[in-house]
Amino acid sequence: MATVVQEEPATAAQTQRRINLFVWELPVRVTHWVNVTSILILSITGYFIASPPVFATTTTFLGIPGTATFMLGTIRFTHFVTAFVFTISVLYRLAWAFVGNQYARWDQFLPVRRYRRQDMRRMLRYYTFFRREAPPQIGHNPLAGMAYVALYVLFAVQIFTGFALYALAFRTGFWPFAFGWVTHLFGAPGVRMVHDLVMYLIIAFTIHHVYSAILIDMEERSGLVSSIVTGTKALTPESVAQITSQEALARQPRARRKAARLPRGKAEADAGEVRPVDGQ
Amino acid sequence: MKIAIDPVTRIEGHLRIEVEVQDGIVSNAWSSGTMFRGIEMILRDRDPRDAWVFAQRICGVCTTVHALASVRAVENALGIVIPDNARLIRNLIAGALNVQDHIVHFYHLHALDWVDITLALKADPVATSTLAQSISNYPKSSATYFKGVQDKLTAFVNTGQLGIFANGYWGHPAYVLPPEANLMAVAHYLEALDFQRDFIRIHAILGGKNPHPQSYLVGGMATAINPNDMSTLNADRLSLIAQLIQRGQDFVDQVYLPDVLAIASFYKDWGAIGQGLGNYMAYGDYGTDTQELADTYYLPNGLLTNRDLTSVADVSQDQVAEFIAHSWYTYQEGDNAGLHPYKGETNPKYTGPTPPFDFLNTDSKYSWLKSPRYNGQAVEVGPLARMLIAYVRGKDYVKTEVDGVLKALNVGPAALFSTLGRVAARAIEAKLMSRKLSEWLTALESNMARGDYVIHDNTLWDPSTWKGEAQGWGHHEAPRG
Amino acid sequence: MASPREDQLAQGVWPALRRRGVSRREFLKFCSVMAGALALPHTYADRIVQALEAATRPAVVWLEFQDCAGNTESALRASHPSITDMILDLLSWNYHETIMAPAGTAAEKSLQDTIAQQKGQYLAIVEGSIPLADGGVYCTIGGRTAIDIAQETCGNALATIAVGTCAAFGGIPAAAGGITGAVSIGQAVPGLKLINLSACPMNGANLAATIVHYLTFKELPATDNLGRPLFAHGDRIHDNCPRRAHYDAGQFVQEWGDQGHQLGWCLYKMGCKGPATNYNCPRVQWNDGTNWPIGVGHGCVGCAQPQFWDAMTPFYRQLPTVPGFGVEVTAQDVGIGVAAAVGALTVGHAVVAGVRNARTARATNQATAASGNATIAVPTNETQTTEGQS
Repeated sequence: MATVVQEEPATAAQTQRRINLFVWELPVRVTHWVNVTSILILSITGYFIASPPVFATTTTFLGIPGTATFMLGTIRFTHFVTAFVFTISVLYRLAWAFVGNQYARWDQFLPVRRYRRQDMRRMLRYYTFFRREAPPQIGHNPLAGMAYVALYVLFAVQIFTGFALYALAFRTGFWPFAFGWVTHLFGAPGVRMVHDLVMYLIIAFTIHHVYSAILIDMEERSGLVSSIVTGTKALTPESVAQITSQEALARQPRARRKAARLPRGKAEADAGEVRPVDGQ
Repeated sequence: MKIAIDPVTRIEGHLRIEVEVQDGIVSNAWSSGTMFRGIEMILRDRDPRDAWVFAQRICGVCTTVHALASVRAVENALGIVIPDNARLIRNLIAGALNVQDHIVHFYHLHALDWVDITLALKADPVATSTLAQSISNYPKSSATYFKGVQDKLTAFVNTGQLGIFANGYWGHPAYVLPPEANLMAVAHYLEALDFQRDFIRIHAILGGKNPHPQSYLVGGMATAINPNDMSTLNADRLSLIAQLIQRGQDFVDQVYLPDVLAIASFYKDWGAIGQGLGNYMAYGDYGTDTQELADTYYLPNGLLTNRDLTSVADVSQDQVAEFIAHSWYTYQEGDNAGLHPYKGETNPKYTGPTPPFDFLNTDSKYSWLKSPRYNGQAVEVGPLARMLIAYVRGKDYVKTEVDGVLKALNVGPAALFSTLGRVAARAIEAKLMSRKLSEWLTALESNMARGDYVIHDNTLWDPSTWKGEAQGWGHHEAPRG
Repeated sequence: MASPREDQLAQGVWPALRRRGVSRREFLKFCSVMAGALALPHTYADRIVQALEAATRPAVVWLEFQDCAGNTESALRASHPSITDMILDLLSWNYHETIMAPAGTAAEKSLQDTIAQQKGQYLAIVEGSIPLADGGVYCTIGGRTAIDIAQETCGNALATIAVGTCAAFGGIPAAAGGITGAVSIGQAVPGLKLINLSACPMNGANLAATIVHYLTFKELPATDNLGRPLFAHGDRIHDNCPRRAHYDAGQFVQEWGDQGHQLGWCLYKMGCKGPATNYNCPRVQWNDGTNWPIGVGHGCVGCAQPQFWDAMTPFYRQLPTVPGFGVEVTAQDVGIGVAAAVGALTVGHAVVAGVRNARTARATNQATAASGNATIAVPTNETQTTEGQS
């Protein structure tokens, strides 16, 4: 549902009137930050499980006697608990992709709509400096959506391999039944290697993700970065109008949509540098 | 007429013998290895530090010997000199296997060719006791003891389920031992089963387990030493090793050697049978320093040709080549070539008959085994070769023992070139090695007493310290050759 | 009229042991040791006594295919019952190449007699993998292929025990680089009543325990999803390791022979595969409970697991190397490389974007200066509502 909100104060650099839109619902923001925290904890503890710290001659941690007698045990316990939290968060977010608002839905991530596929190409050209402006978005840009699909594939691999390794500690029951075949097929060290490698891929994604968010925020002045806390983005009326018309068109029956659509070549040309963003 | 004997039992591996018989005499014979695993191919592209674990699986009976040769090959390639403690631990493991393997070979593999267990049922326990006490001071030699063994055997035979002894060649005229000697041998067959299990615990203490001990490392051993820790080689473990070595010496002296002499005295004609190739070769082994220099070997390096005991040549690994003219492989440069193992190829190509078959094509290729040659000639290796070469090299400790055995059997040195000579050589070597075990243990203990707990040279452990390509060779005198 | 075998069946194990001079006390002790080996409560010892007293003496045939006889040797190291007990008193050990008296056709007769006379009643023990490639020519015995012999012998057996990782999972002949098409007995002859005693070699104590379990409870022991008995493979080495406390505390051997190594610390960083391996090594140990590989100071190589020659190598690294990269490159190296590459690209992108933005700004300023008339958009005070879709 949507909403709005408040006016945008003018700044010297930001001379454009802004419309504040409520984009990210609470579950989206909560799962985002649970994921961030979990990934941070899982990466740190995971790193120590793969390359355990050596307390060479002592069981002392931070100078407190006896504190390190269960150091790696504690690290592993933390890793396991966080893994469950993370899994629940990921599953919840996946479910929300089917019940959440327009910007949380599954079709934000998969380029099933033509205008989003076009936007994806524009976004790619923007990133490769062939295009000055990023096409305006209210929710995720389609390229980012695809990146999140890839990220969730990494999550799935990570959760799957993680549980396969977790299952090693059980002799019978659910865990060996559900996951025992993985380590039997590939060998536990191989599964561990994948689990280790994917952690770095997720870290690599995070680097890119944070940078892109800042970059686009600086371009759009939309408050993209803060939106994942507040839930709202500030967009120019032109951007909003353009997006809404695209969306409205996309929602119309196929025949009308076809009739209304501009010829392909023109649309491509149009989509380019023509659109004013800075009001000039 | 052609006869195939397959499987040849009481050996490790799959061996087939085909013989041509004319008028009851064997006129020609072919031996064939009928199983191929391809460990040479499986080893390619692996971490060389892992290689010994793979190589060890070549044989589970002479377990550990291929591991030792493999780990030495990698050390030779990298130029690693292992610490003294590692050398001693390796010697203890190899020496213990030597003693255990000769005993197992004699009692559980070879003895059933000399001993008719069914005749043991007819023995008089009192006479058996007298016989046993006349040749040895082994404590288990009373008439009651032999009566117990005989009763057990009688009960077993009476069940009608002879198990591994069923379909044996019992009653064959080639068995010439009197019933009492048979009963004594059967008793010691069972004793030796218990002995081998107990004695080889030396491998477990130093290698973690047997078969396939697991403590080798490129650069030394993983056998942690610390007399002041409960999980390492400490006084408790050392004294257990000492006790087991003592048990080994006792068993060799009181059971194995007397039995060999007693049984051999009935089979002296075998001193003229099984002469073999007449060429004997040993790389030698058990150096007194970590450099593993040939001139310090306890069992020396050498080559004897044509049963000539007056001259001995030095042996060098570069004269070794493998031939496949009669093996199911191909070489790029032609199947008649001989390749040094550095240039070795393993290209299996089966050209034998389609199974099931009655006979192999012995005119062409007929075996999975390659034919190793030294300087182009076939040589015999193993205990007899080692003892002969040590004898010719003038090693007193070998000379004394060999002369003692020859005197006890009242035969000349020519009898050594025979089946009987091989049996005797194993026993002599087992005795020598059982004594060396004590020396190595003492040396290890004195190193520890000096505070030397070093078991591994770490400098070239990390593969990033290795420079480019390297090749190396390793060797070990396996108990059976 | 009762056959000798039936007489024997009626006699049972305890009378057999008594004939061998085993006292009642020793027999009871043996039973309680067995209960321990099978991880049974001590009350089961009584049950074992009764079962062994009434047990029959079933026939066993031991087949060797692509093997090293290491499992045969391991069986010779069993102590309770010992190989002597098994061969003379507990079982009728009819065929076993490495230790049997007859050879050639006489040996084959022992096998054929068992199959013909005790069809469906004997135990088949299989050591070594079975090569299927090229018509099975990589292992023949008496001119017959391993698969031919296995199908006949195991197909007619009451149950089959695969001893060692080669027979249980293919083992070393099935490792990468092998060309013989080696498979386990379970794959070679599907549908068998099969128990897998894996490990390289399997511990003789576990074979002894499996046989006693069978004689005692008249059934094969319960297994995990790989057909391995739970009493031997139910738990992970890592979870039963006496060095586990050092792992949990973060005390690791870092170099062979270092201080940690001399204090019996955890071998995880030296490549120990205990965390990935299910076996009773730490509990039962080897050679009459004398020691085990981790106990001596060397890591576990994971020999009880399927395909361990490929899955657990390199043995001295915690993780395998990443496929497609050199043997020197670890997963961590690759991962950090990827993350660093993305970081570098990001920085590069940021620099280019920054330069471009600066240029745009300069151009705008110049344009503005040229016009001499700054156009400043007036912020609105309107509040707009946009309909969002849900």
